[in-house]
Amino acid sequence: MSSPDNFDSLEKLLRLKQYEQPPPRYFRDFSGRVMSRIEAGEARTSWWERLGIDLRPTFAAAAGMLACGLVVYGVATADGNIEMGGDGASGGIPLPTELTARAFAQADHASPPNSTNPIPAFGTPIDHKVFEGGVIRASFPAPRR
Amino acid sequence: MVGTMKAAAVIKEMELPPEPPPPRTKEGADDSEIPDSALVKASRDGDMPAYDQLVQRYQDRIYATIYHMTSNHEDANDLAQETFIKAYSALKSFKGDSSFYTWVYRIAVNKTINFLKQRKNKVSLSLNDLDFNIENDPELVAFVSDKTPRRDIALAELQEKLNMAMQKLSDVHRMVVTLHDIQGLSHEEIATIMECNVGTVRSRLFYARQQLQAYLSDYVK
Repeated sequence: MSSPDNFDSLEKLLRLKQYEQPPPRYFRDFSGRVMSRIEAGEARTSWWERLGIDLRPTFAAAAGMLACGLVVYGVATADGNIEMGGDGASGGIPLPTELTARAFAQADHASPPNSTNPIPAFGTPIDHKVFEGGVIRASFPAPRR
Repeated sequence: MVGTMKAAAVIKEMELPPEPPPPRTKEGADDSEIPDSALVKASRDGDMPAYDQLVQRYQDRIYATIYHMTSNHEDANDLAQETFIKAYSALKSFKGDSSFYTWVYRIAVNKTINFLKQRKNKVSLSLNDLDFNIENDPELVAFVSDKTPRRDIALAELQEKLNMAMQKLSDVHRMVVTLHDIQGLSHEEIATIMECNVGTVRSRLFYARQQLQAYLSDYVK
């Protein structure tokens, strides 16, 4: 057994890797393939890359700020509509906030409900149609034997 | 100059692919007499054959580094091509503080590490065949023969085990082993490429070897 800092056998074994070779004639065409790709424009760079400037962080920051700006604008616009009461601000189409406000306003003028109990109380007109209907026939499959 | 380079490229194309990998050479000391710096300057001025020469000069080493990091030929092929494309597009920003060789290595290392981060732990081996010249490496043959008389099976098995063990290392540890123990780069060169100090390279190398030794305990005496 070799000591931890005696790597003679390992070095011999690693020499095996030097003999791993790509297919024959592989390198004969290699540079041609590289040059073809360069001539096809794959090595073309943008002006900022040529200047050695990495604009990716700048673009990311700009995109983030734009997204934040849009959110802030959206929130500010929505608040304005509520204050205006929806008159003309939404171009004739009521916004959800306007609809809610109208619903509350109508609720103020509506008569209070008789009862919150779903079972009809005495004196309440009963819609008899509720109880009409056919006989419910349940059918079950015959058990297997 | 363009004409000379075109002619050199044609001659290079007529040659057979360099197999097995040639010994590592320093900048400008390759088979061509034209130094890297001249080729870089010409490439910057739009001389495509000059850049083609640079690619040919370092393609095998860049490919091999990425291959040993990924243990996958297809990934190494894509990443090596992308490395040279990226290097070409960034050539104007190359100030020449380091050699072109170190600079392009750094691009390859960063690209590979980014790729491995995206790949996470999904390792799929696509190993290259062993070169027949392995038979001419007496030390390695003796080492393998020691283990089993059936060398062909042992080599394939060893290759797979070795690659799997390599993939168990962290990216930076695998990179240090690749650059030092397989590619033969010095600690100083690795420190420059990986943008860390030499002490870090040494400690990473020691730790990585220890890990590998533990993973391959059945094969390493």
